[in-house]
Amino acid sequence: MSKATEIITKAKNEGRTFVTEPEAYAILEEYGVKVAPWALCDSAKTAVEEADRIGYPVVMKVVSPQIVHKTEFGAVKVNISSPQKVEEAYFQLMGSALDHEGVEVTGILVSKMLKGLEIIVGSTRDPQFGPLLMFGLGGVFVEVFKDVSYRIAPLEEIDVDEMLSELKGNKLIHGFRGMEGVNIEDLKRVLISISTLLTDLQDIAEMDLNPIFGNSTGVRVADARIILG
Amino acid sequence: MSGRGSIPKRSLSASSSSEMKEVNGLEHERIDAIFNPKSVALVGASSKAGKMGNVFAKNLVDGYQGTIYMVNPKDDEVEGVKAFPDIKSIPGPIDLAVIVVPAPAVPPIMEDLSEVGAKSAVVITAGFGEAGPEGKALQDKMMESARKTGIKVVGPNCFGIYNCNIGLNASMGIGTPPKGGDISFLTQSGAYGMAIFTFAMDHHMKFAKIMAHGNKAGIDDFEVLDYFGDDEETKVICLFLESVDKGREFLEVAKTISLRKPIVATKTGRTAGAARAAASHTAAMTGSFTAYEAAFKQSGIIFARNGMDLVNIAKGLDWQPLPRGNRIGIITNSGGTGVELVDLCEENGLIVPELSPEIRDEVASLIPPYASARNPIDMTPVWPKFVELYSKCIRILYESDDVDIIVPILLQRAALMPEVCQAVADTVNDCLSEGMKKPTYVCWVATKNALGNMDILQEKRIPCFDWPERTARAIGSIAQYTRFLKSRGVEPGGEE
Repeated sequence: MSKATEIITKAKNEGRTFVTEPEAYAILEEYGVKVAPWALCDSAKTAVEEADRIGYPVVMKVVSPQIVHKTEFGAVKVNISSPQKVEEAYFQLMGSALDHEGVEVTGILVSKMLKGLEIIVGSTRDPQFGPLLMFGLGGVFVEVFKDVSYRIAPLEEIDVDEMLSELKGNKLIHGFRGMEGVNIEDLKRVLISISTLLTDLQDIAEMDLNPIFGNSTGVRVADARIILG
Repeated sequence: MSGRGSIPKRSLSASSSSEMKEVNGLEHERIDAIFNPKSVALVGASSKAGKMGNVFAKNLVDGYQGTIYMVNPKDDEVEGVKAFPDIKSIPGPIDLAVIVVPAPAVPPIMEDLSEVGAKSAVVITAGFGEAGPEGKALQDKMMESARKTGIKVVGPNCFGIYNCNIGLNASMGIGTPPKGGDISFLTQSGAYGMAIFTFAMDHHMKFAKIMAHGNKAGIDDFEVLDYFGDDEETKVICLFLESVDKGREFLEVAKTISLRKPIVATKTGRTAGAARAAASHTAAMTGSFTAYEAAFKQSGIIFARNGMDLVNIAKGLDWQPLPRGNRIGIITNSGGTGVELVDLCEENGLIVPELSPEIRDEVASLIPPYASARNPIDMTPVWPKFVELYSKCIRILYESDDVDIIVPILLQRAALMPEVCQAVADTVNDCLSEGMKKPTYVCWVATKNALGNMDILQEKRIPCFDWPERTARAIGSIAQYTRFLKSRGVEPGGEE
């Protein structure tokens, strides 16, 4: 059994309808999808050590088998720029999570706060066609303009090319007016990898990788949500 | 007549669909028994005018040359054809059984058909899966009998089938369509499907095979699609769908077919059910039609927004060669219509390019000094010169490399002059037969009394589209298909 399948089986056996963020990262990494450098920490001390290793600024998130909507839960802190702030954030996140009844905390995720163009990749599972993959620009582009393109997985390379050319924000991806563009080859490779992942792992009902940060060096996932069905 | 729009066969790599074909070899044969039966049994045949069993009897007798067995327990003959009291009394093999008896009587008939080894059945009768749990139980029982020996079942609750080229009308439609057609049509909706098809026939379009599969109890969309894909007589495939079952197979089959022949599809029910409870952002943004849209794009299926667009696109594909690109040259006698068409073309992904100076000079030498030799070429309302100017301008655009598609706008007086329509038809067909493979589509803007003149063009396979909006949409869809082919290394109209 692949590691990804193991993770999913474990979550389902525990009666969960989603995997935690570190689990999602492990699944993605198994398929060659790079994630922002991260560590799961169980004390303020390790959080500071890991943040020092990863480099500032960092993002910190509560990891809990009960929390799927992290932002709504107040379980995310961004732009943390010093060891002292890491320590503060650690206790704040722990405190607010434990205020909620029935919430178990697996740990606090510390990850590198990335820069670049925000990209979203998501999926749903269509009853007739199977995994439906969505790709577009993240942040305000997806919220306001819904600038996204869809294809049924598995994707062929030509599908990826056509998805790219369908996006109004295609110019931004390629670098616009001196702005740094995204490494297209890496982006395409990642889309194909995600397509393979979705085709292999039929238990994934919905997925949001939002945001993925893209720059000239490549693309890295900064937040992942995988819903099982 | 059929070579114009066809696309070279391309060898396909071993894919899941070729494996699927192996599995479906038998299904292919069974579907062929529906369209090319050596014998047809009409179960529920009737001599009484006005009864469904009589409509079908008359339709079958009208043009079908194979053996017909009427099944009626009371009469000795129906419409001059010998009748048998039941299935088991029929002396020969049955390729196709057409069933019009009431729903509760259908399962035992299917059992009999299964026993005598019938190959296929079209069940017209309603009151099955679409009509609640009791109907669903009847449908299941009927299918249980059919599956015993693999009878391929079309319907129930359907309009029937046609194979126009052998004169087979096993439907409740009126009259047998003309032979010589190469458009095949699969429609889930019976009545609207037939309305689309008869409207198309009004416009001189000819069909090969038509199937209304209703409840789709025993036949999947992809099987019929696959059959049409391999069918030599089918050059253009039209689908009118409310839903697609077995989407994966459908997608794979469509992907390979559309590299060699076009598939045009309307999918209704696009807007309902878009809002569903969802845990992810992606699901919340994804409507029920999104997956279809994606599947159509990936497989090169040309999406038609409605039944009339379906007809227009199919007409353009069937009668004219595929465009090699999306640059359009417009010839008009009305500046206003020309400009509106330019806007709509650009909105539909087409380009209306500036013509090269040599072409402009050539056109300018023909038209009045106050007219425009740019694109659109606006000759202005110089009626006495319409025949000459439309002919010459069309030929100039055929001979020029500036455009891939030619659209003469025939507006009001131009459309009312039969000699203008004749000249346009002749010029286009002359240019095509001289080997200049470029499509011409007419944008028709005229009053009712000009309609007869539209026939002059359409009888000669020059498609006319009503008004700029429909014109631009149909051409935009066709050009999109060209783009699909080119990006996959298939040159549109590459053979010949």
